[in-house]
Parts: sequence; C-alpha cells; structure tokens
Amino acid sequence: MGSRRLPICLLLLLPLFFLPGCWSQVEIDDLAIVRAIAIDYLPDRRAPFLVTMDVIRPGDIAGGGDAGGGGGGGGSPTRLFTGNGATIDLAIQQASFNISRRIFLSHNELVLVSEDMAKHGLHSVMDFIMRDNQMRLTNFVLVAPGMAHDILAAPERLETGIADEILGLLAQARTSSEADPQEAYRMQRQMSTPGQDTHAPVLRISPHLTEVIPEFREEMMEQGQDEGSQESQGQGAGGAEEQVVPQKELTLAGAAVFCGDVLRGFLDPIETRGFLLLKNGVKLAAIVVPDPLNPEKKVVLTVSRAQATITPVLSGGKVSFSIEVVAEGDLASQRSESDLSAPEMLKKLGSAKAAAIKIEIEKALQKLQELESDIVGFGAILNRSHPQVFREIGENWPQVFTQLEFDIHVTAHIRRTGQLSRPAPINR
Amino acid sequence: MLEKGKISPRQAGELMFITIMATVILFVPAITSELAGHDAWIASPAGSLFGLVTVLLVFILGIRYPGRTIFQYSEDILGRFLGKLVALSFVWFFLHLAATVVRQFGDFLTTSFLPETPLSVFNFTLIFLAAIAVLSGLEVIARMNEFIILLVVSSLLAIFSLSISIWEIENLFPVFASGIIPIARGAIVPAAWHGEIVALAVIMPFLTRPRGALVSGAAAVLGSTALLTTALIAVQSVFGPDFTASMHFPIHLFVRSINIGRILTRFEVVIMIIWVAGVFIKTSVFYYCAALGIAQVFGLSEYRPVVLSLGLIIAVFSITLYSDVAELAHFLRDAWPVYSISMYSLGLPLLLLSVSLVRGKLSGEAQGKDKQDG
Repeated sequence: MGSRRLPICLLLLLPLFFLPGCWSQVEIDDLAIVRAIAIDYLPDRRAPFLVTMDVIRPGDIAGGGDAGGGGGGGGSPTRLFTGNGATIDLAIQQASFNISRRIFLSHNELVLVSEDMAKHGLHSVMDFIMRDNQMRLTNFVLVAPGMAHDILAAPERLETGIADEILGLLAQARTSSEADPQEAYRMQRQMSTPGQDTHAPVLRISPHLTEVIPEFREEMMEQGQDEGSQESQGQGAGGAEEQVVPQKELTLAGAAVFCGDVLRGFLDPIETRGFLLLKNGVKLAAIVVPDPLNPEKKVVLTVSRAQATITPVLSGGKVSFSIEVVAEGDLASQRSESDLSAPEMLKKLGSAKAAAIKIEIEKALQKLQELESDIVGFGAILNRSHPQVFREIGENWPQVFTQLEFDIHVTAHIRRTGQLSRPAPINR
Repeated sequence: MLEKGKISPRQAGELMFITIMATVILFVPAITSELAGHDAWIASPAGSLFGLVTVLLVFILGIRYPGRTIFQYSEDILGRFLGKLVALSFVWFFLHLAATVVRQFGDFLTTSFLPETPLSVFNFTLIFLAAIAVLSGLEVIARMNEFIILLVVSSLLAIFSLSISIWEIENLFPVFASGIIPIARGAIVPAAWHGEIVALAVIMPFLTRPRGALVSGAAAVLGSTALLTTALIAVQSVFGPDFTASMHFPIHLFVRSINIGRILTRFEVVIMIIWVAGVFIKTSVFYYCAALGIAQVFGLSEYRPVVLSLGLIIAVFSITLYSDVAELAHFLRDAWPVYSISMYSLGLPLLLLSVSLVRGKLSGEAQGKDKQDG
C-alpha cells in the first residue's frame, strides 16, 4: 500500500497543471473586444478592403460609463481602429499592428457594409462572417450609403457607445416597420435559396435639420454664435465651432436590395413598409388617408397586425401571384373635428386604408421588379407549391420575376379609436 | 469469460444510443443535406431505420449462440480459419471506427473552439481517458453512460425547444421535388451511422437478459433517429438546405445562432459538452470491442494487456488516416457508408446468419436421418 501511495499522490498533483486554466490563458485585459466592424471597399486598389473596428476602451469596461462621459474630452467608451488589405482578414491583421491587445471578435454584433462593398458583392463579407470561428452568424449586416467608416465615427447620442446606439436602432426598427434588420445567417440562406434574393437595412447619417429646413440655418447660426460665446468662457476655445457644426445623427430606414450578392438599389422607407406587409413583418405602422367627411383633411390609421397570404396561380402556362392581405389597427389621430366614430365611418376608413395599403404594396413590387430582385421570395414560394413549374422557369427567374403579375386584395379593419370616441367639441 | 461484469438491457440500449448519436448529430446533417437537399429530413429517418435490420440480424445470431460474442460465434459458424478472419476484420472495423471518431473529435475542437491547440493533444487525451474506461470494463462504461445520457439528451432537447422561435418551417419544402434518387443517396449516410449498432453483437452476451437486446437495440436506433431528424428539421428550417450543405458542423452554427432577447445566447458550450461526453463513450465502446475481440480471437485469458497497445494504434491511426478535414469529410461521405454497410453492418452478419441457418438445417436433417435410421 505504501509503495502505491506516492505515485497516486503525484498523479493527483498532475491536474494542478491543467485545471487552474493557466495554460495559454487569455485574460480579459489582454483582449481588444470588438463591438462593430465597418467594411469599406475602395475600388482600383491593390488592397481594396478598408476595415474599421469599434473596440471597447479597456478602462470603461469596469468603470461606470457616466463618469467617463461626463468628463468632457475623451468621453467615448470605444476607439476606432482601421486597417486595409487585399481581403477582410488581411485588413484586420493590419489593424492589429496598431492595437496593443489581441483582437477578439466573439462579441461583435454588427457588420456595416459600405455601398461600394455591397455593389462589389457581399460574398467576401459573408465568407468572413461564416468562416471565422469567432464571428457569429447572428451578426446584423447593415448597408451604409457612402462610407461605412463614417457611421462608426459618428458620435453616440444616448447610449454608451456607437455599437449600442445602432443596436438600439435595430431593436426600434421592429416597431417602426420601415426597416427589416437581418442576421447574417438569414441573409446567407436567402442568397442560397433558389428564387429568393436578400436585403439588408440601410443605416445612413441623417441630413441635419439645417439642410432639411433652410430657415433653420440662419436661426442656428445666430444662436450658435450666442451660445458659443457663452460656452467658450466655460469650456475654453473651440466651443463656437462645435456648436455651429451640427452633430451627426444616424437613421435606420429603408432597405438595400440585392440580386445574388450584388447590391441592386435601395427601397425608401415607405417601399420597405410595403415589402414588409408582404413578409408579415409589420408590427406597427401609421397610414395616412383622407377624412371621408372632410377630404382635404387627413386621418392617421395604424396597422398593428397585418397578415399576407401569397399563393401562386397557374393559368395557361403563365404564373401570376394572388396576394391576400388582412390588416387590423386603430384610428390614431385626425385633423378635422368631424365625428368618425360611427360604424359606417369606420368601415369607410377601413376601405380607404385597404386602398392605401394596396398602393403601398404595388409600389414596392414595382420597384422590386425594376431592380430585378425577388426579396419577397416569390420564386421560392412557387418552388414550394409547384416544384416542377419552378424547375422549368427557375433558370432565368430574375427575368420571369420582372414580368410577373400580381393580384392584390386587401381587407382592413379599424378596431379602436384610442382614448377618444369622438373629437372633444370646441366652442367657437 | 473475459468480461465478468453484467449490464442490464436498458443500460445496453442507452450505451448503443449514445454510441450512435454522439457523432451522427454533428456530421450527418451537413452530408445528408448535401446529398438529399430539401428531402434530407425525410432521408434521415428512412436511412436510420436501416439500423433495425442490423439489430435484428445481430439479435438472432446472439440468441442462436448464447453467451458468445460475434468474435466467438463467427468461428463456430465458419470454422477456425475463416471464422478468425471474420472476427479479425471486425476487430479492424472497431479499431478503424475508433480512430475515425477520435479524429472527428479533434477536428471539431480545433475547427470550432481551440484553433491553436494541436490535434494530437485532443486525440491523445481522449484515447488516454477511453483507455482508462476500457480497463475498468464494460460495466463501468455503461454506468458512466447513465449519467452522460441525461446530460446529452436534456441539453439537446433544451437547445431544440429554445430555438423553436427561429425555425422557419417553410424552408423544409418542397418535398420529393427531385424524385427518389437524392433521398436514397442521402439516406445511405445515416444508414451507415446507425449500422454501427453492430457493436451490440459484442455486448449482447454480457446482458443480464440477452433477450432484452432486441427491444433495447431497437429503442436505441429509434431514439437516435428521432433526435437526428429533429436536428435536421431544426437546422434546415433555420439555414435552408443549400446553406446547410456548405457547412462542416451545421448543428454547431445552429446553436450559435440561438439568441433570445440577447440574454439566452451562446449555447455552444452545450454542444461542446454533448460532443466531448458523447464521443468519449463512443470511443470507449469501440475501443472496448476491439480489445475484447483481439483477446477472444487469440484466446487470451485477459483483454486488459492489449488495451494500451491498441490505444497507441488508435492514436497513430487517428492522426495518419486522414491528412486534412476535406479528406475526412470526403471519406465519411463517399467511402464509409458503402464500405461499412456492405461489410460490417449488413454483409458479414447476413453471411454469418445464413451459413448458421444452412448448417443448422443440414445438421438438423442429419439428425433426423440418424433418428430414422435408428
């Protein structure tokens, strides 16, 4: 017994070398945690990929964001690092020369792709997302008109970092129904499926108020100078300029439409909503119709539930699609003082809403046919119900798609009228 | 008797279930999706049920030669020389299988989790662990498996139920769009995997009730079929068949895609648990079968002395048999199904059974003649 005890004790000591996790350990302090990646494509260069990474600043992981944010100057909790190379991997590798830590992509949640990159083809982006063992297929892919780098360089407004800001926008998009965030694996599936094209939400730097409303500009200049002079006393030089140069804001609305992996064009927010109505993706939307009693005034109706059923119709060797939409919602606001609460009025509003929805869908489909991009997946729907037919015409589905005819029927119901049954009377 | 332990039929069924399921769930979805496209989720149950044929063959043989393993009754049936040849080829089958499984284990871990660690670290650790299990005997492996099966099945069910919100069932259709041939081609891969249940022929004599082997073997095949089919439905409804076919380990990427409210996410640890625990049992079972086979063919009084040397052989094979992951995938897709079904899970058992039946009839007739004469 005594002779066996020593070897056993030594054997028990052996796990000490492996179990404490000291072997090739990686501490959090050694990692550059990337939250978002922007990929730009610069054509006609030997190293066309420009990759920008949004890396969390080490000090701000543990410390409260408030303390850093309030401190003025270096308030941003993240830093941008860029690199360029002949492929995305090489660009990241080049960026790593500037980073004092090891790049860690497992917590990356956003991939921003510039318009040029999307026009060149998403394949290299998707390949990077799927092949890299740190990247996740749940990364959201967004298209940025212009440079994707500029989006990450925009300052955050409410959240503690630009990545959180964009993620917040994505979460909100589900309620505005004017953009459709898609994870990478969904996009890849759509690209792989015959008779289906993919799309991605569009994230752009919004035009500042002064550009939209010219009157605003002069007002801002005056105010800016006033406030600037006050500020400069408190904060030091440079305050005036910062006030005049408007802070950038981000807008998530619309859809980038692909054919294969190549960007074909953009849907505007309303067209995107028309498309989402077909995909049952509308959770909340506001539709404007004329007041039945007072046609020059407007009534706003919400769509809180919409169900579309798409069925292929074959007649005489020709394929067309019948689209049935049932929408439900409330009366959200009205500009006239007329009483719209009577059941027949709500019926009228319902049919006006149905007509408006139908027009929205038609416009979206028309645009998609112009762009030759079947992002609704009519081909895939046809393939599911009539695989033989699809096998014959699926070879040149994009051409078939542009010639497709649609038969759209919309029924809409107004269920409630909000807190008011009729407008509160005003004595004149 | 080389093995003194006894296991219950239920334990045997659980052991066979984990043995099949451990690698089927990671490797087969991609291969079947590639071969059968949309119809993979139909091909998989169709192919898997082939395992029942093997169970039946093995069961009848086991009942005809009670208390004897396939290594022993192949000698009883085919005579000394041919019988030993068949028994040795089964030993080779189990060895080859163990080496392939170890290689799959290492390749998955290096691809998906620990890219900087050399393959041999995973392979050698696993074989070392399995060697300890084999030295401890069948009973120990079976009891350990009772714990592991809970871990594996409950985590798999948790994954499937958590992911239901991202399933898009319409991706499974159309069915039978391209006829029966792709289904048949896709079915042969799960069939090969479920044919691995031929290992029951080694374990059957050590059951407390050998007659329970039929039910427990069938249950193992059915259970594994159900899980594989669920996995295929889940993976295809999320990724679609065309995308699934281009992956190495669809179920792993599938689990990484589960994201419920950005809180319930990163479940790939669960896949790691399933994989490591399951493959450990699988390797142990085949390793054990090979060791016992060697001992019985050469008439040793103990199988334990050969365990460590067999481990070395498995370790070397696991590194040298395949030079890269493409070769492994190619072998598993194109060569393995035909080879293993035609030889081991159908061919040889069928040969043994028919020869045994013919000889039984002949000797029965001879006996009858003897009686008439007498």
